[in-house]
This record gives sequence, structure tokens and C-alpha cells, in this order.
Amino acid sequence: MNTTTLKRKFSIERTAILIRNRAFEDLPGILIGAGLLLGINLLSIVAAKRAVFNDGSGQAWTFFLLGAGILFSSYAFKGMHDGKSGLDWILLPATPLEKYLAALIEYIILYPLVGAALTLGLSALLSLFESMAGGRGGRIWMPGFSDALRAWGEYAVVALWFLAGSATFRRKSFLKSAGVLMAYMLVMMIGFFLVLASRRSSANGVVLNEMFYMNGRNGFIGGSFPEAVQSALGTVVDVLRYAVLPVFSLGYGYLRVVEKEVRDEVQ
Amino acid sequence: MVQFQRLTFGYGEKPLFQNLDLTLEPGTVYGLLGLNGAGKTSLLKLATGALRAESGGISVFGSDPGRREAACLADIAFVPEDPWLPAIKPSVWLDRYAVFRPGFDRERFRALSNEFTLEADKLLSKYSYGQRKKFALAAAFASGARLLLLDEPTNGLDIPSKTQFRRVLASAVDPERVVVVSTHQVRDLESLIDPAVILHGGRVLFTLSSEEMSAKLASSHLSDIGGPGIVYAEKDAVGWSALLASGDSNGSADLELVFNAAITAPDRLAAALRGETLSSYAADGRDAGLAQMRAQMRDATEDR
Repeated sequence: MNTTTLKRKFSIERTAILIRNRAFEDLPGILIGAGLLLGINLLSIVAAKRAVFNDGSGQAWTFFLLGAGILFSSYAFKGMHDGKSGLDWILLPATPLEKYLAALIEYIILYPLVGAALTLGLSALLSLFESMAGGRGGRIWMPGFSDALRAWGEYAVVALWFLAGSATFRRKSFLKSAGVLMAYMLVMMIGFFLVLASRRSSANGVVLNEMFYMNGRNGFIGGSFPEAVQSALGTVVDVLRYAVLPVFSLGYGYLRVVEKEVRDEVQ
Repeated sequence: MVQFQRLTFGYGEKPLFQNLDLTLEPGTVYGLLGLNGAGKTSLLKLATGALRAESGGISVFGSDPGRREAACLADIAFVPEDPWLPAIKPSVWLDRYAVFRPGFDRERFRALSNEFTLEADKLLSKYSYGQRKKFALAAAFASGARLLLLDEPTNGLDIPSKTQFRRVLASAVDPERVVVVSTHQVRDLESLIDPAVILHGGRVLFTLSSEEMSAKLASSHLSDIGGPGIVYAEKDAVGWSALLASGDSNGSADLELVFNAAITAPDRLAAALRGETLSSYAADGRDAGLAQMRAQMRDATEDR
């Protein structure tokens, strides 16, 4: 990095170095996780001649891959809150935007890509071991493009929320972020339930004894709402889930990083 | 130049600084002195932008550190009292973190690491307190930053390291660089600090250059304190260590005595610096002064 780069308000080079540093910091955790999964599957090959994670459609791989990504996201800004390392974090010569963007790129884009490649490699390796052990072999985790894209979209929304949580909560950010997300979903569900219930009550006198469930687009109550209402409701849910929530998470998380001070520690 | 203008800042409702004004010129090693809780570390952190003032302005070579622009952050090196270091080796630290500072002088860093006998193959997080401090000092002195902020730099250093530190600090004086050393160990550094900035009661009580102190104050050991011109005195085993108002001093004034005088008898010190004749110094006055100092320290601790 040179003096000219230093004077820029935003530098791709600085952001790239921040991403690289994050990757180095996360690498031990990723390797430990991969090692654990490898160990579990090797044990299952030894015991039952099959890699348990390669069974079925390989959902277990997806679950661990995305779950670990969310866990990483929820601790992305842990160092910023620490009484001692936080000062170093703030004073590192890069702007808050670059620091936030580095975490965003790392956990929303790079981690899923690299993680998926690693998972694919691990799954293929275990499939080979399975064949060598006399098992069935030939089963490799390889999600289709559209499935992968959908899973990534869902992951990105949740990971953004946990990134914002990490920028907000000093301790136990995973649990706190999850708690707030659940509370948010619960409030939304109750809100929709009440709105729909009141509409139905006024329309045909049905009282609030319908079975209450949530399955995304298909509605919240019963199945007997007019198509238009269900469609409108689905749109509202999608907007809240895929637009409002991520935009809020992005903006709020960034502002928390910008406004971070070292007030928490003894001066 | 570093400027604090009408700076107001506090923790909770009680302000730590109210309308504080201070200008720090390049080519100077400032000693920031104050009681516990006077706000020395907070002032240093405000200068870095890690804390934000409630009102007033801070300018570091024309930039506002609160904006946290990369160029401004690279121009500041702060060594906290208890530095944190990651679990990596020094060479890895250089590759990961020194790269953010184009002015970082790796050769100087290596030379300082050797001088401080820092172990190159050990994880930084395994360093002892003194080693962490020396590493942070070496990194700061090699950083190329024009503002060096050192918080209690000699705490935790062994005696040879203190000597090395003084030598390194002396060599770090540069016409373009501002060095601020916050310390309670004034005797460790009094040969290097010039001027001393005494922070008390939320403001800068005195800014005393060594020239002014040499010209107007002197330290002496007295058997009694009945004589004239005593600004401040402390009883010791065989008499009194005294700070005298003296226009033709042969030696320099003891900085610790000057500090104690500034806190307990600010009016007498101010009068001495103005060259006014002082009334006789009574032991009662000293006792009253110490009681006042203890009360202030107690208040400051309770405020935290």
C-alpha cells in the first residue's frame, strides 16, 4: 500500500487486505470444523461402510455449511467489542466502511463459495473412502444451481442479520441475535394473525379458532382466504423478509461499526 | 499540530473535560501528568478518535480523527498501558497489520525489536506484559506516524528496558512529530519531557517547559521550612524536599515536586512562575494540600 492509496476515502486494496486477514483468522475454525465432519463420517464408514453425511440428498452438509457461516457471521465483530483488542480494531488504518464491507464480503460471498467447494471436496473424498471400504460410494453432495441460489439467498438474509447482531452485542451475540430474530418473527406472525382474523371475523363471522400455522407464501390461517388476500399477504411477507430485513440489517450493522467507541473499558 | 478546542467530554453525567483547550506543536515530547482519573488516557483516546467528544473540536494535522479516515489513523500511533496483541508471530503481524501504514519502517522495527530483545519465534499473545509493551512501542516508533501517544510507557519495563526506551524516545524526536507521554513515573522520563502538561479538574492546569522550570523553580533539600521562597515541601526521613521559587537556579526542578505543587498549591506555583514573592510555607498548608489531593483522588475514583 502506498501513500496515494492511503489518502483515498475508500480503497479496494485495504478492503482486500482486511478480507485476507479475516480469512486467516477464520481458517483454524474452518479446518477444525472440516476435521470434525471428516472424523464423524470416517467413523460411520468404519462402522457401517457409509458416510452418514452423504446419505439422502446431503442436507446435513448444507445444514453444517450454512450453520457455520451464520455462526461465523454472528462473531464477525467480536474483536471490536473487546476492551483491549477493540482499540486496535478501531485504530487500524482503514475506514469503518472498509472494515464492515470486508466482513460482508467474507461471510456473505466468499465463505459460501469457498465453503461449498470445500464441502464438495470433502463429500467426494468420503465417497471415495466409502467405495474403498466396500460401501456403496458414488454419492456426492452437489446441490443444483437453483437450489444453491435459493439456499444462498436465505442464508444471506439470516447472515446479514447476525452480522448486525455481532456489531451490536458485546457478548453472546449468536444467542441474542437469534432471540431478537425469533421475537421479530413472532411479532410479525401475531400481527398477521390478528389482521387476518379481524378480516375474517368481519367478513363471515368466523372466530379465532382456526389452526394457526406459517409456511411462507401460502398464508397463515386456514386455507379459505380469497386468493387476492393470500397473494397480497405473501408479497408483504416477501418484502419484509427479503428487502426490509436485509436493508435494515445492513444499515444498522454498518452504523454500529461507525459509531463504535472504546467507552466500555476503564479509561 | 494537534489541537483540542473547547473540548467537552465525560462518562455519565459529570463531565471529565469542560471546554478544554490544548495545542500540541510538532518537534516536542509532551508529558501528560495528572492524578488517577484526571482523564489522561481519555484525552489520548479522544486524540485517536476512539472516543468521541460531546462538543468541541479535535484536529490532528488538519484532520478530524473522529471521522476515522485511513490517512488520519495511519498518522496516529497509540500505545495503551496494557497493549493487546494477537496470537501470531511478529513476522506475520508485520505482513497483516503493518501493511496498512505505508510509512512503516520495517528495518527500524527490526532494529528496535533486537534492541528490546523481543523473541521473533514466539506468539505475540504469549509475550509477557513487559514484552507486549516493548513490541507495541517498537511498532509505534517504526510506524511513521506523526502523532505518537504513549500511555504509561515505562510501566512494566525492567530497568535496562527503561534506559533503552529513553534512548529510543530521544531518537524519535522529529521536527514533524508530536509525542505525548502520559505517565505517573515522572522520574523515569523527566529528562525527556518538555513541556509537562498538568491535567487537573477537567482542564489544563499548567503547561510548564523545562526552560521555564529551570529559570523559575529549583529543588532543594532543607532541614526546616521556615525560610522564604518555598513553593511546596514534602517531609522525608532527614528533612524536607522542597520546591523553591528561584530565579537563578543551578539545577532543574524535580518534576514530581512540581506536579505535587501544581495539584496541592496551584496558586503558590502560579505566583512563583510569575516571579511574585511568596508568603511563608507552613506545614499546615502542606497538610491541607495533601488532604485536598487525597479528596480529589477519592472523588475521581468514585466518578469512575
